[in-house]
Amino acid sequence: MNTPVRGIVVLLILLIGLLLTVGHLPRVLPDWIGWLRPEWMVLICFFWAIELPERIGLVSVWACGSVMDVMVGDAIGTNGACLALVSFVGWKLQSRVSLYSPFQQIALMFVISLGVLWIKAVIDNLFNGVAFTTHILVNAACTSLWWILISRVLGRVKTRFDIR
Amino acid sequence: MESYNETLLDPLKQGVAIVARPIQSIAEAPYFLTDASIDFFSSRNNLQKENSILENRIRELSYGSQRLAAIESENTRLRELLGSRKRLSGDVLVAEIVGIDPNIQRREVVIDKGTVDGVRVRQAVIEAEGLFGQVIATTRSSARVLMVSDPRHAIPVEVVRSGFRSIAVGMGLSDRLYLENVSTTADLIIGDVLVSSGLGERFPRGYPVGEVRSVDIDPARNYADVYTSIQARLDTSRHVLILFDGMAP
Repeated sequence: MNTPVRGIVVLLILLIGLLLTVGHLPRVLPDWIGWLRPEWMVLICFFWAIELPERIGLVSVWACGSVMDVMVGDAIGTNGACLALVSFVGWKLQSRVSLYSPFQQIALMFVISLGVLWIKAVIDNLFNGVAFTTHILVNAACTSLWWILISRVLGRVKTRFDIR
Repeated sequence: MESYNETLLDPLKQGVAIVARPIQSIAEAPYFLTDASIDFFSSRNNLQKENSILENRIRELSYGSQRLAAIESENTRLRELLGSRKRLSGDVLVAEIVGIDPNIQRREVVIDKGTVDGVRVRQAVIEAEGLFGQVIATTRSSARVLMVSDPRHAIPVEVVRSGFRSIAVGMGLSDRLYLENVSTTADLIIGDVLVSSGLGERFPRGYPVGEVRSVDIDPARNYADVYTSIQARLDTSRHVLILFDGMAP
C-alpha cells in the first residue's frame, strides 16, 4: 500500500471521528442516552498517538480540535488543547500501553478522558455558563469502556492498510 | 468562545467554519434522508388528507390575518396618538436547522443563514407555534441559536389574562420552563398563556412562549414554583424564522 493511501485512511478515520462527535442521536431517544456517548476524538487521537507517534503531530491534532470547536460551539482552542494533551500523554506512554492489561488500559483511558472532560467542563462553565455536573464521570466511564473496542477496530484497520 | 464581542478570533473561526460546514451537513444527512424518504413514500391518501388539513389551516389563518391587519392598523393609530413607536415588525427570514448540538447540557441548533443573509447575534428566533430562542453566534453562512429550553436562557414574559410579569428560564428540557421569583400571591392559574413581554428589548412583545402547567405553593417559602410548557416545537421543527425587528434583513 502506498503512502498517500495510508495517509488518506488516517484522515478518513479522523473525519469519521468528527462526524460521530457532531452527529446527534435521534430526537425520539431519551436525553440520558447522550451521557453514554464516548469522546470519539479522544479515543481516536490517543490510538494514533500510541501507534503512530511520528505521523500524528500537534498541528494535525490541533486542527481537528479547532474544527470540533466550531462545529460544537466550544471556545476556540478548547478541543485543540485537549486533543494535544491526549496525544502528548499517548506519546509519553506509547511503549508502555501495549504492555498494559485491558483493565489497566480502561483505567488509564478513564483518567485521561475524565481529565479532558473536566477541562472542557471548566471552560464551558467559565465562558458559556454551562452548569458543572458530575455526569462527566459517567461520560468518562463510557469513553474508557469503548476504548477496547475502538483500539481493536483501529488496530485491524492499521494492519489491513499496513499503516506505519 | 461564543462571546458576543469577540473580534480577535473571528477570522479564524470563519475560516474553520468553511471546513466544518460540510462535515456538519454529512452528520445531519441521515435525518434529512429519513425525512425525505418518509415524504417520498407517503401514500396518495395521506397526501390528500394532509392537503385538505393544510387548506383548512390556510383558510383559518387568512381569516385570522385579515382580523389582525385591522387590529394592527388600529393599534398603530392608537400608538401614534399616544406618541409611542410601533412595536411589532413583520420582517422575517426563514432558516433551516442544519445541525443540533449533541451536548445534552446545551440546547443549541445551527441554522443555514449567516452574516451574508444579515443575521446578527442577539436576534430573536421564532417557530410557527411560538418563540424558539435567540442567535448567539454567527459565521458567514450559518448561525448558532440558543433555544428557550437551555438552562442559560431566560426570557421576560407576561400572562395574557392578568398582565403579570415574570422571567421564564430554561431547564434543559424541551417541554418545560420555570418562572423565576413568582410570589405566592401572584395572579397565576393553570392554563394561563404566557407571551414575551418585550422587556429587555431582546425579544419583541407578544410572541407566545407557553402555558402555565403547575403552580406549587409552599407556605414555608417566599416564592412559588411555577412550571410552564413550551409552545414552540423545539424537537420536531426543521424551519425557524429569524426576526428583524426594526432591522433590514
